[in-house]
Amino acid sequence: MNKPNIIPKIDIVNDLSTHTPAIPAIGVYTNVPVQTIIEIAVDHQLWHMVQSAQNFYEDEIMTSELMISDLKMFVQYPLSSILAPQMVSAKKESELLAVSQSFTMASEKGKVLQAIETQLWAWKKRGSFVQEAIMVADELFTNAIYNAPHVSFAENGPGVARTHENGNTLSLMPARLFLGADSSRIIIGSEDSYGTLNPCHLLKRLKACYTEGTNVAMNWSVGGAGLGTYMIFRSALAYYAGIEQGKRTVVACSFAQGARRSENVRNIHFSIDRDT
Amino acid sequence: MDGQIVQTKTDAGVLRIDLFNLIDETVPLPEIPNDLSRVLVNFNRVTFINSKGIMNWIRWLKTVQTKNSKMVIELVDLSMAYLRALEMIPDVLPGSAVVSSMFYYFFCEKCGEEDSLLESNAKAATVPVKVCAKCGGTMELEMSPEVYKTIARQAP
Repeated sequence: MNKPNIIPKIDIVNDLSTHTPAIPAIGVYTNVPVQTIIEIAVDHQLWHMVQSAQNFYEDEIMTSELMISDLKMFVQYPLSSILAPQMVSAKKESELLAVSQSFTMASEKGKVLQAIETQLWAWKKRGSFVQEAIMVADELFTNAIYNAPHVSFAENGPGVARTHENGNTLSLMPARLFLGADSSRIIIGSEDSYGTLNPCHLLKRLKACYTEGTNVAMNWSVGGAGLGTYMIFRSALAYYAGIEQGKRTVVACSFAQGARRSENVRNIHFSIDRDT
Repeated sequence: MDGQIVQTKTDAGVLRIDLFNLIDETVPLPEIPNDLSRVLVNFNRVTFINSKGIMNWIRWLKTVQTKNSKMVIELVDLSMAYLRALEMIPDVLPGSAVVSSMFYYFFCEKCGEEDSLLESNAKAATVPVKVCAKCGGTMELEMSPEVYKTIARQAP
């Protein structure tokens, strides 16, 4: 892998004014409310935000650095980029991968989610976590089927209606859901072949859920992308999105092994490559 | 596993709706006649609700209330899936609804045992304490206590 360039770290409480959106940086903070994190991400286009008071701080910083300096590596090897950012490789990716399920139609959702659920039970995860993880997997699956192929990067559209016809009859390029873990974290993610996720739009919807209430999501027409992302975001330790515009999007969420949700912090990592 | 809905109408103008398994984009919630006095929705067997299911549920509630504002909506046996949705999306529980009962879910940090308790809702409800049947430790509540405070405000 390329050696990451030195990426500036911005203390979002004291040094936010030094951030220039054109220069990618990592916002760092301690005990800042989640809503504030999202507001800063939107208002200052600071797309990498990492809480310093957590077990995974060093790794999370390295993942951000990797996503900023070598996004192709992240989308190629998301599990090792998150769980072992100091040793990203095909071999490490394979070691960390537990489930990978490809799909092209909504009717495959049951099979895909079942594969993930079976693995989570095999790992003896608590029931409440399995339910939460399946919810996250479901939302990622839904985004890959109903949003990614049907939205354009420029438009802030909600995707198509979640109908049988739209989910099963339109010709889609394959997507996949994946599950991986090490001893400290579990990762659930998705990959699609469209690269249409626009971080600006997504973060604005997320911000609206926090600042205006989730009821605003009810007005987002047929799809509702935004409410699902909000639910994912509320559940996960960190949210990662790497976009090769027009080519590929990888979204992943991490969960701390054994942690209760209330202990979770919320880090965000968004990177985009517009030249692919 | 597919979502299922079973409707049972009684002579007293009450419609009971039992929801099974999941509430998502594949499960259309039923049309409700205008002449009912009460609709009772049972979540006991609901194990999964996604964002589209939440949107459908909230829209369904609004439709029912718009058609007949005097109709009482009673929610029964709120399961983990519902409680988790409520924890994130407050509109899942409309202020006019009545909640008769809900589950408490527990986890033992010491031995990993899980347990649940179905309780009637009461306005002065306190969160029950559960002792682990396996190791005797005190079990921890899975959901935020705030969720149960919200629910307690809507006791019958």
